[in-house]
Amino acid sequence: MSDERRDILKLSRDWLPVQDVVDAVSSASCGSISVFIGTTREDEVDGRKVVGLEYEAYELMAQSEFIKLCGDIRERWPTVTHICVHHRLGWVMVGEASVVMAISSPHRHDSQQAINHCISQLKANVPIWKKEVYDTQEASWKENSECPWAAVAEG
Amino acid sequence: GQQSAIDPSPLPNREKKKRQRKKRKRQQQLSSYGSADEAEVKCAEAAGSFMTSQVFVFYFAKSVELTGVKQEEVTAVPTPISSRDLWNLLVQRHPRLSILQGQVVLAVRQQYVDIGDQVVTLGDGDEVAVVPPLSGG
Repeated sequence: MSDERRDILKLSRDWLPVQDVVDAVSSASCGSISVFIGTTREDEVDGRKVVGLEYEAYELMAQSEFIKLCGDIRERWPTVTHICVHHRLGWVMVGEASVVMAISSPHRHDSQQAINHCISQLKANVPIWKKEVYDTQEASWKENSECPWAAVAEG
Repeated sequence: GQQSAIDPSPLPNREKKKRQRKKRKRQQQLSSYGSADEAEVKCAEAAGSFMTSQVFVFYFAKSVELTGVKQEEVTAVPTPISSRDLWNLLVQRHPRLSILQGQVVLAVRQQYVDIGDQVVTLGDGDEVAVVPPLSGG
């Protein structure tokens, strides 16, 4: 394994096992790997049940925004070693994971803080969108409150 | 000068050159898009000193449903242009985009741009994207 710090964003329609994301950040120098998994909830909205999510992305810009996000993480928590995010595109059924992320650091404080920041900032800045699909065959595009130009933006 | 009283012949070269210099300076002023008012803009267009570019516009999420289009080439986009004018240009092409007004930003060459007074320059082949509120994660 090289000493170079890795920032990996993988966008794909395929299912990627959690272990692969963990393996991507493992390092002999790291005593801590923090993992976040975002899964698709079986929500009920106005009497309609969510059956799944449809994801799309502006892939080129998702990569460049991800690089900026990793730079931000590394500035705040300099001991962070590797960062790996896998985000699904296309159809994700209820119960399945839509995003898996792992961050490694020598000691647990930095990776734990960083993983929390990583998912918040991904929701705020990385150009990915999801549409909730209901059992009535209707669908609606969701908006993250973290996103500054959403109708119900935070802060 | 005093030449009109002494010499009734056509404009001397000195006067012609002075007028030509003034005209060139005026055209240069007019080509600065941001400071031109409507009449001057029309003048500049007639003088051929306007710049335009051909850009690729990408639509995402709800904006795809509103326009029926995922991407398109848009020609003759004035540059420089304010992000508000660029948005209005797209709304003119696809009026249903106005439903997103207030909850949308643009991206130019993969940099977010709020819709407002910010001026962007566009080159041929540049990517512009319509960016509804994000919902990754």
